[in-house]
Amino acid sequence: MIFRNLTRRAVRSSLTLLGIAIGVAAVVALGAIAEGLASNFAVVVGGSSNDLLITQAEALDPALSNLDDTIGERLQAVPGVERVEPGVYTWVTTADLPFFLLFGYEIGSTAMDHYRIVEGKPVSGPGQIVIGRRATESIDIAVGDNLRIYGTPYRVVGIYETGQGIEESGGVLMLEDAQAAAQFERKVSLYEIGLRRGDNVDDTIARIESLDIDLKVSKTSERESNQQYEQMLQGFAWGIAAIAIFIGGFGMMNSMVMSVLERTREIGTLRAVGWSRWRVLWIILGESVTLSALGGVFGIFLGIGLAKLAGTVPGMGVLLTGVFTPAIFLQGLGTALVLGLVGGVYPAWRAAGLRPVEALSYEGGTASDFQAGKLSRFGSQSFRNLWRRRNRTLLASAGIGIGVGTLVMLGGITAGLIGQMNNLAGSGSPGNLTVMQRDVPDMSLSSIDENVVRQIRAMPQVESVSPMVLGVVLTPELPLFILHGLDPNSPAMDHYKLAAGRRVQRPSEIMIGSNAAESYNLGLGDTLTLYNTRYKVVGIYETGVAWEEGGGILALRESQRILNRPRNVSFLFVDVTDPSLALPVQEAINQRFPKVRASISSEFAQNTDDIASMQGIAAAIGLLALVVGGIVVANTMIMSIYERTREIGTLRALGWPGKRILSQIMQESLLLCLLSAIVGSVGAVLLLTGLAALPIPGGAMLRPAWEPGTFAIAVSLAIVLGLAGGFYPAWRASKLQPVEALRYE
Amino acid sequence: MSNHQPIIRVEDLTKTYGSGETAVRALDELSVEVQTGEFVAVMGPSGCGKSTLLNMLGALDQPTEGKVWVAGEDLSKLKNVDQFRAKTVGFVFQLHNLLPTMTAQENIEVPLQGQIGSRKERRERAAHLLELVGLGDRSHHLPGQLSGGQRQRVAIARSLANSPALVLADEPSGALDSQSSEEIMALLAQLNESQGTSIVVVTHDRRVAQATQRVLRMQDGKIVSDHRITDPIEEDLRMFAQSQFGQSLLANNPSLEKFIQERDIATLRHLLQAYDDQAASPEDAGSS
Ligand SMILES: Nc1ncnc2c1ncn2[C@@H]1O[C@H](COP(=O)(O)OP(=O)(O)O)[C@@H](O)[C@H]1O
Ligand SMILES: [Mg+2]
Repeated sequence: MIFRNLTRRAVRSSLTLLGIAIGVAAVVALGAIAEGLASNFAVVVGGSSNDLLITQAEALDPALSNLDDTIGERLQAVPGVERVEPGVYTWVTTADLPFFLLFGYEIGSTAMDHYRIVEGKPVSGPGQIVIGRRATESIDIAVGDNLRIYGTPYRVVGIYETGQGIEESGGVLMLEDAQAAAQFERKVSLYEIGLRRGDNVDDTIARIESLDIDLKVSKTSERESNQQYEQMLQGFAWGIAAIAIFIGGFGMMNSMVMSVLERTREIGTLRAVGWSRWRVLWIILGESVTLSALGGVFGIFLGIGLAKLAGTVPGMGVLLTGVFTPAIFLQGLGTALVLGLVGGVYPAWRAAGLRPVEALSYEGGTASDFQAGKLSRFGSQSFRNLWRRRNRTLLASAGIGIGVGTLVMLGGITAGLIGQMNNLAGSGSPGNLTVMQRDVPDMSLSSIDENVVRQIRAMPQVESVSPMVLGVVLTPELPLFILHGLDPNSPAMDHYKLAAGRRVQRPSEIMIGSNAAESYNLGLGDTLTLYNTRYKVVGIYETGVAWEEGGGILALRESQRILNRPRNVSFLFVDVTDPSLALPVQEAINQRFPKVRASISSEFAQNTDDIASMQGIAAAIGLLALVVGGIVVANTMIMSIYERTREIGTLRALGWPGKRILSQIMQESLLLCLLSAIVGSVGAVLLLTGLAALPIPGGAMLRPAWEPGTFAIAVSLAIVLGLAGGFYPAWRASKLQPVEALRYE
Repeated sequence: MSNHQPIIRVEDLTKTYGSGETAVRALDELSVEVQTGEFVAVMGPSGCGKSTLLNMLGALDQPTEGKVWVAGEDLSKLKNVDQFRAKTVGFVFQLHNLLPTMTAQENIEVPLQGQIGSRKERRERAAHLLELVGLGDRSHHLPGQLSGGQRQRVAIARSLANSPALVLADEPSGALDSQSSEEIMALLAQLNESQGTSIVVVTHDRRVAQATQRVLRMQDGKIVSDHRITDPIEEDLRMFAQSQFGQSLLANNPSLEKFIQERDIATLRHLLQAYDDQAASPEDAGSS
């Protein structure tokens, strides 16, 4: 019986099923990719035949780890340590290589042996590189060719395999070359350590830890992914999937409510012939759960397919290679079942609550069920038809609204970020330039050698250069504390307006932003501990930029010391002597120093890869919202024309051309989507405004900016949804034969 | 349009639904002619093809075989079916089929859209028609706020929107109580008289048929009788005598003949009431 009821409205059931399937597919595909990312990273540089891996204690990932290259000698002196092999591990982003891993090791080291050469020969000197098998698939390159990294050509001498996808989509240089390419002068990312046979491993580890350097020691055999990192990835995957789930869930509920409504009479009959309330409830719930379980199974396959497809994207595919665990499939099915239950409970409860007498006298879709409400005579026919089924309209627009709202929120956050970044220190006057390392995937990875600072300072048109170091502190006590290192006398310091106290004068002093002072409850004279060093708060500043106010300023040298980046900075703020010289100076810097990128400060944000990836995510979510939202629209409109079949037949009999009916239904669909866009936009603005006002450290970072462009995108999305989702139903309606339609019950 | 030209001409009209074993011959080589200005009732048991015939006349469906001319136009050669449906014929359905989201006035404007350009003119025309059917004060009511008889009157006003030459009404009073039903028929008769509109009305109700000038009786997709009405009582009696019910009554009660000859009105009323009652349930009327 359940199955027959579902096949009775085959198109609607399959659309509902598809909606659920997409939600589940998002859970499965994104979950698998997040799992894959986390576990792949865990294996990178972990598969070596060395015993221990040493990274900086606070680093989320070896790529963010920074260690002095002098530590090696101290490690070598630890009893039980036989070999100490420094390694550099970093990301490279160039036009051809969106995500290219670069490894650097000493020639002939055990660590280097991990990269098994299958073609050509290993790296034997400067200017040589061996690249991974997967990298050769995404960039067209062979042994003997040259590969340019940040402008420097390296000759490909060999190709390696390790059996690990991420490693195989990178390349290996000799240590010094890698340090130069990554601007890691006198620094390394990690040390691999080989232990003397026969010694107790744990004792040796304890001895290394007692060196009292900020080190994290892990056994290569047991290296796990960083918990925090993995959680972040999974949270992110769920966040995106949740959008699809919500939209799908509302679609589901909509469909089930509709199917109960149109069967009101039938349900009345069942109750009249003695079926119990529970039996009716059971049947409706059964239908909804059956539908969602089918959707779940279908979604799992769709998800696997999508994840596999993502894995083939050239260049980035290797990052997106999914790892499927039983837990992911269970999550997918669980999601589907929860959707089915939640979507079915209300309709089932409604069906069970129907009084037989009322149900039997129900005439769905005829004149008597459209009663005079306040708005029933208001507006166009499209509006009235939506008003007539307010609950359904509400459910559909809630679903679509969530999609649109998410886009609006992302748009607002991105615009807010851009605005804030453009107001970063140094952007005070129009003659300002901001300089960062070219082609880094994340701003916090930007790294510029102090030699460059000196050379830029020497340019005649340059009035001043303020170097700044940026570090992100993520500890339980200080979640998201942005650490700035800035020379107290530099012109960029003017950007930080003192609200209390004074500027930093000594390495042991720190100025903190007003937000940080508030959220961590710190005042002048209090102390703050960063990387095991205590700093005294001497000043509190305001800048109007949330994350600047959520962090603190140390003296430049001090911050370089604790962040472990001597003679190296993140950004430069360049003042030119005359604003009209800003452009020529920008070009001159970009030409002379291929490793950095100078932007006019007010345009800086648009040029960063951070913003590009935010926008990429927004586009992906937009696509998801488009597909799932389109299905919801189509489903809603199909229901709407089903129940109005007689009406449409009447219009045809009265001489309305098919075209006119088509346009009427399209109008209705567009109106539905525009309503959703409004609901979604308003919801998004309220939500973000509320979040930003919450007294949490992260909350203050969200300072959304509302730009007409964001809402224009929301409205265009709604129009596309309305057109795409409404077309099939409208076309069907226009093709209805009057006689058939008039006989329809 | 001259009065001598037939408004409807049907020649050997056949309509078959489905195919093979399950095929239903809803109309079987039916031919008929209706003159301009005539008011015709079509009667017959349920399923005999009345609605099918009306659908063909209104160009809502295509014949399997045969030809139909309405107002001089060959329906198989219509260039613009929509235009024909909007202007040449007006349709009144059994279940009024008003659009629930539109007020009475807006419902009447439906066939005017695409015909009359200005909104003001459409509104005036709709208001005029509402007056005509006696609902001038209900123009802003939704169908849900009107009684069954009022809804059907709105539907009639809607069918007249573009002053069609022919109104086709398929059991317009089928869903109404007897008083509303009489009112509706009186309205149709009045329209026929005052506007000269040709009307074809399908009905089960003998009293409804009485309001007309000509009764076509159908059976199994064919017209089995066609005659003009002169004296209403005479027509009643003729129909009674022809019916199965009447024949069995007459066979069992020869004395009835006497009452009929003597035109004993009181007795006849009783008889006809009984006849009406059994005819009101289509199953009985249609069974053989
Ligand atoms: N669209 C259709 N498909 C199949 N059979 C139909 C269709 N329309 C009518 N019929 C059949 O044709 C016959 C005549 O129907 P109809 O014209 O509606 O009868 P009525 O005289 O009661 O109005 C009936 O047997 C009916 O079942
Ligand atoms: Mg009929």
